[in-house]
Amino acid sequence: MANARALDKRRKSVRNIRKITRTMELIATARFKKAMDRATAATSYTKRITEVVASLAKSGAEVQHPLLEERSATDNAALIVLTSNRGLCGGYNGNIIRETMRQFDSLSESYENVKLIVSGKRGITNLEFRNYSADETYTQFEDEPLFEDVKPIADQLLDEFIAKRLDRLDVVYTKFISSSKQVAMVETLLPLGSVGNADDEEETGGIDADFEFFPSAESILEEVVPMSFRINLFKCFLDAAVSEQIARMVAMKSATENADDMIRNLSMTYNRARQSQITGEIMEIIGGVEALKS
Amino acid sequence: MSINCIVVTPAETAVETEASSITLPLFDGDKGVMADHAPMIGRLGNGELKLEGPEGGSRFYIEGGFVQVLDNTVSILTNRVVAVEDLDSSALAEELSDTLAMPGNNDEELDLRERASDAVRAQLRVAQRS
Repeated sequence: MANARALDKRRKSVRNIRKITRTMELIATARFKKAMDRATAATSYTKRITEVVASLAKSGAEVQHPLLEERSATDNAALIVLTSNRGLCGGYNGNIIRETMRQFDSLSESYENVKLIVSGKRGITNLEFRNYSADETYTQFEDEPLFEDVKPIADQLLDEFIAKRLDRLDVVYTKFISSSKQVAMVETLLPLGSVGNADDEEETGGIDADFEFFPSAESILEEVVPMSFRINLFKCFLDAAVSEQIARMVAMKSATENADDMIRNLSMTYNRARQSQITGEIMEIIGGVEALKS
Repeated sequence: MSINCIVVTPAETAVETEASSITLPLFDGDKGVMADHAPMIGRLGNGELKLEGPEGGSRFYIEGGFVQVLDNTVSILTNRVVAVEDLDSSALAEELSDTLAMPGNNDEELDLRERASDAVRAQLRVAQRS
């Protein structure tokens, strides 16, 4: 029979771990709410920019821009990978890395140079371990990515794309679909398939007004298209941040539940061990008494 | 008659208020908008956004973007918005000399420097006007 004291010690340490996982769960919940609020705040910009684009399209402006054109050149591609800086969030980073390796390999087949840009310490170390060397790394994005931080990255990529030093840009990130569903996926951001979201355009199609354009529809379009790319990239960062918190919340919740189960089992074994120890001691005393009697 | 004015940045809806008149910094100069303005979409530059309301006015610095005027609603989409009171002239003057010291060895760097210093100059102008 196991030693009662050793069992008690073990139970205590499980209790301590449970406290930690429980706290992490609560923190993740609070951060998730905050990240979620930020993500919803950002959608109002997307909605309005789609409105502007819909109005532009109605006015008969030719929607033509270098960023919208499909490229036949297959020289340079870039892949942005959004992972977290911290671990203990279940399969969050693992899923992203699996997706990254698949996408990177398939891009390498059709493109000559594939640049790998990784954000998040977990992704950087993990991909390095698997012999995928990152060309650029970022670790400054925590659970609240700022637009000011994303903008320089977006601008740099835009410049490269326009200068034809980049022909395609993909992002691997965890898309937030609902609070119970997030999927690691690949999205092609450059060339832009369409400005804004096709579904949104139908909703906002009801605007029927003759807009005056200052200076001209074409000039506004020239500005809208890059902005639309920046906001798309920013949205990826926001989605990734929200998904990370959800993943951590779920992982820590199940860790807490597991700790509870373990404590229950350990308590039972501990009680049994204690009881058998007591029984043993009583038997010894009785044995001693009997021996003295005779 | 009042106009509903909404200022959104990529991160948040920064301002949502009623105003009787609005002065916008379009890319080539200021433009005033009052009630019942014709539908309009314009490109914004860096400069001052002035809102005049019944309970006094407010002033902001905005950095590029677009404006849409429709049905007495003015939606301003901009990269950055700062209340004029929060602009600090002395810090901005320092920032300006920093941006002017940026390298300008090729066209791209020159362009970048010009864009950065333009934004800071516009802020400085708005801050000093108050």
